[in-house]
Amino acid sequence: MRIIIISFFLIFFISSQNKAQNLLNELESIESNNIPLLPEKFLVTKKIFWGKKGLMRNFNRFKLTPENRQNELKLRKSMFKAHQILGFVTLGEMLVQGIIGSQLYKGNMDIKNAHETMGMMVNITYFTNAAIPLFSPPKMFNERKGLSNIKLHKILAIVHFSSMVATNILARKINTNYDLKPYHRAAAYTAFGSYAASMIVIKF
Amino acid sequence: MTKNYFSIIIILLCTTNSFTQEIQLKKLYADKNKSDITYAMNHPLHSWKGISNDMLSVILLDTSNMEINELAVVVKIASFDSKNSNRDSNTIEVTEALKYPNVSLSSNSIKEINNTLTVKGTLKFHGVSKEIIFNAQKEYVTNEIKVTGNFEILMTDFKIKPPKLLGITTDKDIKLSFTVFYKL
Repeated sequence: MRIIIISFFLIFFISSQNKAQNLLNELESIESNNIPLLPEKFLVTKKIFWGKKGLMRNFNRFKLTPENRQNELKLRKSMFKAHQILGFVTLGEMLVQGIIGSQLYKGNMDIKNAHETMGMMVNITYFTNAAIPLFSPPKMFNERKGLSNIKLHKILAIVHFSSMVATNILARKINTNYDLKPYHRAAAYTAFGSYAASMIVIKF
Repeated sequence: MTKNYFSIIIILLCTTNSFTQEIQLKKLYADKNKSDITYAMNHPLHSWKGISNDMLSVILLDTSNMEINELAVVVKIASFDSKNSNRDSNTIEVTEALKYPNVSLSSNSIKEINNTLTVKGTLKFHGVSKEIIFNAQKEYVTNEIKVTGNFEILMTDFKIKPPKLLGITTDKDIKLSFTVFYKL
């Protein structure tokens, strides 16, 4: 008799537990688990490597599967960590280069070599850092509508990238045309200002 | 022998009663277009929110007393929009949403006093199930039941490592708030 009663309550308890679980199972069967593995739109530079038929897809480790894509997102995160660190390093170098440059403009020609060496260092870290977001695995989603800090970061990246290229071109031309000096300085200041701003906007 | 017959009759009566009760339970589905769930997170440099309008939910309503007996909720992690696709993509990475795509909640222990619900249920997130208790408010709005509420969870309870931005870790708590409309 006792066994019958216990088993009855046990059955009743289990059936009550199962009801909520059944509701959940019903919802989970409706909800599709398929998340598109790639966004519809992403940069051509990324598509070459990470598109559906990108070069990286030739390696088993990077075949387009949910598991591999999860690892790709981890790789992307690591690359963006490096992007942040190199960003700070480059900003520091730019600051030092600005101080050296202003001394040079005041006529202290003894530091011309230091200015050129620092210029080379800024270029190495800056362009290496610029390559990271261009060639990293793509994110999961298309850009959201409206203005965001990342969109501002990208707009400012176009400004500082153009200014960096202009600074370098003008630096070479100064040797033959000294009148270009103020333009070189203006381009360098624009590069520094927009670069610093692009880092600040990430904060928001 | 007589005792056994007696107990069988009792079981049959109880089972019949239980079936009668089931008939009184009405299954109500959430109106996806009107319902939403929001998460809020904080980092020393800024705070943000992500909202999902793609919530699936169902309740069992006891029509005899209009009380909610059971509930189930499923939300796809990829459906949360924080207005920043990079951040939403990082969320997929951090929560391993390609492996565990949904967050779900099921409860069969809902107590109702003056339209305040005390829900005790199981939250499944990142493949980890945890018992949670939270309060919600129930109200009737033209042919619908509106349920609102909020609760907090800790990422670390679900084996999720809080993400970092500029080398600084985000707070480990996630604040969740929801508004769900069930069609009567």
